[in-house]
Amino acid sequence: MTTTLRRTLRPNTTCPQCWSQFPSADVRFIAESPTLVGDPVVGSDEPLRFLPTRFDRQGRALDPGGAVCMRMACPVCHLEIPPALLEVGQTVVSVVGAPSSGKSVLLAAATFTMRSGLVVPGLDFADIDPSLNDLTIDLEGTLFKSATPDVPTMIAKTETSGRLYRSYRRGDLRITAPKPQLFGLARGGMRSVLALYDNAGEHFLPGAVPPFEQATRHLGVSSAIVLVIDPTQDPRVHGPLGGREHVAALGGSSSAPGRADLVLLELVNRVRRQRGLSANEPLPLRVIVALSKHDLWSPLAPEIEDALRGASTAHPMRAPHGATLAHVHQGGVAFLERHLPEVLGAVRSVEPGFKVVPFSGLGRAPQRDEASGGMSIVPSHVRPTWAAVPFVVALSEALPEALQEYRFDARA
Amino acid sequence: MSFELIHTSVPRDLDGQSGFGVAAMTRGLPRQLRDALVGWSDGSELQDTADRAISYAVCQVGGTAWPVLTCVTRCGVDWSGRANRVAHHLVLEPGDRCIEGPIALARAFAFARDVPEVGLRPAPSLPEPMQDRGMPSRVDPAWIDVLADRMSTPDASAVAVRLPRGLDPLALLAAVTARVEPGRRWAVQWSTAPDFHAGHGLPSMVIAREQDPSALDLGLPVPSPRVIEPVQRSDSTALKPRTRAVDRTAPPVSTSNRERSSSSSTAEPSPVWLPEETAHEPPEVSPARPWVSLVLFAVAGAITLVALGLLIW
Ligand SMILES: Nc1nc2c(ncn2[C@@H]2O[C@H](COP(=O)(O)OP(=O)(O)OP(=O)(O)O)[C@@H](O)[C@H]2O)c(=O)[nH]1
Ligand SMILES: [Mg+2]
Repeated sequence: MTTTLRRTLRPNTTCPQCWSQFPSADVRFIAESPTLVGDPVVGSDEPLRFLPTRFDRQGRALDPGGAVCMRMACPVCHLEIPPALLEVGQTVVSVVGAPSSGKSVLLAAATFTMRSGLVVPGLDFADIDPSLNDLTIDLEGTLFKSATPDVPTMIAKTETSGRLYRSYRRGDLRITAPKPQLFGLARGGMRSVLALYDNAGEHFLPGAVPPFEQATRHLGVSSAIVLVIDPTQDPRVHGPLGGREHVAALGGSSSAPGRADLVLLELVNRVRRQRGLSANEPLPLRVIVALSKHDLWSPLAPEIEDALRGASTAHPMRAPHGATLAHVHQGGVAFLERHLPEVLGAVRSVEPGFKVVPFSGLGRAPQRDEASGGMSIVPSHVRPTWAAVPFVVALSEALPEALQEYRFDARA
Repeated sequence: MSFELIHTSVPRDLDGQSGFGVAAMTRGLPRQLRDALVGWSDGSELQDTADRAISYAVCQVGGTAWPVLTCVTRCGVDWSGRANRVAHHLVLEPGDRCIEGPIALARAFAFARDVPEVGLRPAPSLPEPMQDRGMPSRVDPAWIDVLADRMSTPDASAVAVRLPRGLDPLALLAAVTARVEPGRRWAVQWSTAPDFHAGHGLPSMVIAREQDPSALDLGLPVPSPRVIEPVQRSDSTALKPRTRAVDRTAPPVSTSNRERSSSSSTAEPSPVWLPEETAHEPPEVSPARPWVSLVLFAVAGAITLVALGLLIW
């Protein structure tokens, strides 16, 4: 039975938490015997991680106390990993952006719409292990599956530590990593595990303290980066949109002097550091510039409006094909050229093949609560537009055979 | 010189960034210490419903142990319309360590409750320590002795306590601190929250969550015999100092034979013990070893018998 298991293993696996590569056969098991509590790497409250030497008749691992063990852990960081990772390749997509740029709303809207199967026909998208994906399930629950869909609510700020993170010991260091959200992807003959991370925007800011940089180590292995830029964080767009206060009252970040170009340059430095690349080497990943809160700034980008008008799809959630995506990309480039030229310059210089995708995670503006001053939206009013599209474009780069019709040449 | 650092969500912090960052701090705050305090500003103390939490911990950076008082307070919403909080850290120098311990300063210092004006500041001026020799009502006084004993043991024990409803956690912490030997008061870490950032190698005491089954319930009388088994922390961040359920099979810990200074205010100010370079070494406290006196007694008896025999002979 062990041999049956081993036959399906990939030779090597990359841990989605510490990003070490290890021979799949070295995977540790998590003890189930109640007495085997305390692990030197993950802590004294956690069950022991061990390399099994005894198996039952069905080939299942037995812990030193004789209990059957099914849960597995990385041999380096000892954090739990789903068994599917040992059998199927992994595609890591990093979501990056300044605080309040709209990353968490994007993730919630994207995963919620992808699950419906309506975004990309024939693409299966499901949690690998719902117990490990509690973060996305929470985010989606707030906006899309609320038990009180008529009570205004909003996704909370992503903290820089706490329950969204896991920690482990490496030497004298205690390292904190964001919990990966893992989804099984299947289309035609392609199978992959998609790993997404929701960091706090503070983790990406230039000059971040070392633990914050540790929390963004997925940049060292990701095949694509979804760079979320909120154009309303730039004072130059406030005037044409009716002024600072007006923008802030609609969910824009009018008082934050967002410098998306600096976030991008910091991010590129980290990618190079973590992969040991020299300054001249091209980035071994694709950059998707996801322009958030399109509901707010759409009047400033008529080219995007035009491209979208001509792009009616069979279902409002369906992602358009490459030709339409290319048009919208050009509209986005024109918008950036007019309003955020240095951002465009920075993106172009680091990744000439970048792609621009506008989206609105909420589909409409939230409202400011008079009493508390907080922003909220009635869940039944949320209608995301193009929220999954930045990921479809990212995946069409990472898994080109499976998503051929969504590819386009941004340089054309 | 003492230092302070205030961390909160502002549109533009001292580094020109938006989001949670350093809004104000004392000029000249050492960089490593500043980074460590930023790491301690994640609001983990406010994970429950509490609106404010005060903690004391020893922050060890660059070979120096800095005593740090931290107050984290919820403060409405920030520029992005999302919940905000303000973490105010007060770092003390050796000369600032009053005999009453950090709790007396924590009760007197005006910690920020709102987002401050962004900028560098001069060193904070420290208030007179607030003394309070009263006993917290509705708590068996024997608990105070038990807790002070636990905080005085050489191991880095972590104790979580549950308070009777309405009792001020600072009053309890003050009562326990007053029972700890003055030289050790700055080596005991504590928090009014269940989780906090604590330096490792030192004892700590926290106010537990309502539903924490392993916490000591101070609403009940001290169980007899007084047995409290501490939980050893295994990691440096020590976010979950806890106390395990009382284990009646463990050997009892004596709580009655400790000599105490009658009152902290009358005691001569003694040099305050605080780990410097040797922060991880447990403080010197001679543990009770009943068998030592038995052996000595037996040896003395034998010598007396031999001497008597010799005399008769
Ligand atoms: N008008 C509009 N406002 C939005 C939209 N998405 C997000 N917002 C507003 O922007 C705020 C921030 O969104 P988040 O998704 O929490 O931002 P984030 O990038 O995850 O921020 P951090 O967690 O701080 O890094 C929300 O609270 C909303 O007020 C949108 O599609 N349209
Ligand atoms: Mg977020």
